[in-house]
Amino acid sequence: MRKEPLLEIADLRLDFRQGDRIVEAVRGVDLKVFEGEILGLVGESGSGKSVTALSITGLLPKTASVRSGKIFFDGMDLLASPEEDLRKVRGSRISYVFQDPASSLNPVFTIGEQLMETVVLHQKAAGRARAFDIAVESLKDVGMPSPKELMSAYPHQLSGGMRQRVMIAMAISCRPKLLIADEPTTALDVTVQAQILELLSELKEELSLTVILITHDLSIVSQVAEKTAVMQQGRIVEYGDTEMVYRKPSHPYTKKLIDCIPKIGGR
Amino acid sequence: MRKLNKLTIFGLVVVAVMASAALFAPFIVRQDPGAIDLQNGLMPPSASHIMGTDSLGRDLFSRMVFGARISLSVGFVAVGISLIAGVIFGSIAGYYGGWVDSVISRFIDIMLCFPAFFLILATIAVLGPSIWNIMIIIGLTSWMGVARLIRAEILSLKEREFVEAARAVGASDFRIITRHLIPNGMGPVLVSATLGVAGAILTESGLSFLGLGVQPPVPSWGNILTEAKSTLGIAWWITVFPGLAILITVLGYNLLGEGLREHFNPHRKQ
Repeated sequence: MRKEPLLEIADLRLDFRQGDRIVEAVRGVDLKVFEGEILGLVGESGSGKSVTALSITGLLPKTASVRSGKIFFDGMDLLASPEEDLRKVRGSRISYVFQDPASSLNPVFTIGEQLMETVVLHQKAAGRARAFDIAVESLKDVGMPSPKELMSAYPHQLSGGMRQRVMIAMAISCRPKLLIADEPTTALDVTVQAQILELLSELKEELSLTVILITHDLSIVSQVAEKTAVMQQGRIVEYGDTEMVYRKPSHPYTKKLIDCIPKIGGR
Repeated sequence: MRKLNKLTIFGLVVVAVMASAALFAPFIVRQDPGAIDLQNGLMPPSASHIMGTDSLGRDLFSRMVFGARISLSVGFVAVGISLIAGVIFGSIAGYYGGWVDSVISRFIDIMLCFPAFFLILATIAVLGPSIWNIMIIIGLTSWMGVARLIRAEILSLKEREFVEAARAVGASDFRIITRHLIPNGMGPVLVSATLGVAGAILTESGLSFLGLGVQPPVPSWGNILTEAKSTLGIAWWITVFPGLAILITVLGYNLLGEGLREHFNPHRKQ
């Protein structure tokens, strides 16, 4: 049975302006993400994977602009939507988790205040008491022990892994359909990496999330993603079931990436 | 928490003493600051008048304490106005950049070109001297430093990732500026505001001394000094006490401001 994709990117082209020069960052990306799957988007730095993700809800930096293409999300034409509508989508239906949880949290506010901000932004009717409950609930969802005490902690009091859990709690607090995780484990050490990846898979099942997992590390993708797309120089060079991509890479670049994964006692 | 140094604590104490004197003025003084007693004019400091009396026989201590009210409230309100104006202009310029920044920054440059004191004198000459006019005018001629500070803070803060994270959860520009950027950038601004209070008190005293500030019979440290001018040769106390009060208060605020700046300076050696 063919389902309708939750997110469809069609022939997306993006430019960066650097003074007089124009640099093409994304050169015709086509991508479909189906509901309930984890898509791994892999590529080296500068391959255009992050800007592709940012362009989905119009979060591009000022120097970048979309030249052509279409992005449909759940029947909504995002590139044609005004900023006002995009803002309502961000955080409530599409949310992000960024690379560095240390700098993604505002140092002068408590965890609780920051979690509640997201809730209040999108559910104006919910009072502070309700927002507090939702925030505590989200912290429980990401497996934080003693969430109530944590609400009054400041970001610097938490470890890197805990901060990233808080960021994920913030991202899922409004029960989004799509979660875009941009290198969510790069700033963390290996054991914490595994925990965060496991958490993402669990949340995907429990909350029927769809996840785009952006990374440069193919081994991460192979652990959790059902589908894999490989980007190189602004194009998607390979796309398919993770198993297939991993076993039988068709593009030479993918082969090289797979060879990069260190193997113990490697042949 | 690092310890504050002795000078900072001295500044803090001075500021606290002056502020409580101003706040609780009616409970501190024994004589009505406006009560004229010509029989006892120009009395030197004594047990009944610890700072003596002026030429009209009014108790100088009472006038000093009530003058503290005027002088300090001018300082605070003027700095409050300059903070509000400076934070608004500075954060808009810093956040939006581009031509908005250019327009606001050039406007700041133009404002800085005016010799502030003459601008104040000219405005007072037109609008008339009243305590409110003085507060507003001092405030509106001293916001540029605050604006530049907060602009610089926001220029660097807006590149931080938590701003992008806030955008990614759907926060509006207004919310990002007011909730995320300004609270993070207020440290140096509050330090400069402390120094600004000292400047505003000095400006007010100067204006009052020239007769363009707070008008008699309302006492302010500046206009007590004006009245003292004519009797300087025979009654030293009327000049010395308000002069000392201005000196110590301004010194106190400056020490406190300097101390806070030093305290929050991340490069300071332990």
